[in-house]
Amino acid sequence: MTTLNRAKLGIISFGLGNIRALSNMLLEIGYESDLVSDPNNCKYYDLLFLPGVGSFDGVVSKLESSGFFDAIKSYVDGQGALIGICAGMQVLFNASSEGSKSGLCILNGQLEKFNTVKHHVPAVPHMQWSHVTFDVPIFDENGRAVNRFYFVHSYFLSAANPFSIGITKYNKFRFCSIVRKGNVVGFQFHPEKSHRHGKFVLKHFIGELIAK
Amino acid sequence: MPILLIDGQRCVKSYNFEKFKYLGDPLNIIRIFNELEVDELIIKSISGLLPSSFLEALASEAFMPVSYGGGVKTFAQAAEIYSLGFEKLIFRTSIFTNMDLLKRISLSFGAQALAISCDVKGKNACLNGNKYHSSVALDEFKRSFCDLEFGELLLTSVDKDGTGSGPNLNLISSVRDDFQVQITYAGGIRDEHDIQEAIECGANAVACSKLFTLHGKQEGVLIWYPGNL
Repeated sequence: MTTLNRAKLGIISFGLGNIRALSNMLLEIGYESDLVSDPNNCKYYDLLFLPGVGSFDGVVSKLESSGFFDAIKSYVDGQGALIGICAGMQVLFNASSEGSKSGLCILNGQLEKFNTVKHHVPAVPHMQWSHVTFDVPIFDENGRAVNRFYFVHSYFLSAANPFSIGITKYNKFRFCSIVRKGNVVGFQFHPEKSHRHGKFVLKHFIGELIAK
Repeated sequence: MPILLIDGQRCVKSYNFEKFKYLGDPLNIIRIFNELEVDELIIKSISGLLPSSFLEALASEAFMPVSYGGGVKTFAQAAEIYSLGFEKLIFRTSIFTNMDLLKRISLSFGAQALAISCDVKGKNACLNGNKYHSSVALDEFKRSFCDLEFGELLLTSVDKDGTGSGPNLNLISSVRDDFQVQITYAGGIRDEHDIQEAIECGANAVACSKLFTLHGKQEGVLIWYPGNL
């Protein structure tokens, strides 16, 4: 079995998503990573990242046209470990309330759009630093809480989703900001834009997902 | 939040928008701000649109959201910079020369991704550095973008820039009522007391370049950021 820092990490590169900041942050916490642009190569990795920005339908379309849609489903079916980030987390689910495309359906749930009136939130998208209350709190190596991240998203997953492992409040509205089902984890926030908190949340979950 | 002024590939500090002092390599400075856990970074270029490869390096180095302003003239350029990892773009001159571009950016990327830079010298808004001949009356400047949907106003006092003589509180008050958006004030901030005063006057956020980069009477280069801001 590979030791922790010799694990093979890959970042799926399909044309949408800020990849370099993520790979720089991974390097800072001791992990080299490859950019994976050939879907056939997914199987060689211990852990894959799916970064994504933009709309649900937009990301799904790009995953389909690049061949990654089916490759990711096979990879997860084969017990591969996957971390989805922002729109990369959203497409793990079934659908978005305003989109027409079907997501990866790896986790059950539907994304809904923030509405300033219905949800009593000041603006759409939710674009700011916000707290995450994890079901199981996470701390860094100095014992400081890891709980504050940068978010940019217009759609959200309900706080009642069964795969939720952390909640965020936008104004007073609660939504799910992190999910997990077995070897698949999804962050609604951007760890690569959340300095210390981002580094440690990545370190924590990479450690959990590739420790066998 | 810190402001980094870039001239070519060098990071500099301005005084009244001129007489620039060399601070260091921008990538190194960003790395230090990463360690200091800065929440947001503003990068402005005074040498025109920076090359994509350099912009990509800056965005990838920063482990926090970053805004960029300087020399963006086309939609394609704007789209590319957003895709490189910048959260917001800052515009100034384009208010008068290319309002259509700003409206298109607002529509395509969202109002929250668009910031307007209002650099005030006396009663005028500067459009090119601090050159008097390329400025307009502040009221005219404010009227020119009142129809635009944007997310942030970066209000800088050119008179106070680099002086460390405290914020221009009158400026903040006079602008606050005209806009609903987030107002980030810059110019003359010395310490946390100045930041507090600026916020009480109506600024939603404060941006500093000298406070976080130069230190002491000799103004030696020292990059820092207080942990509890």
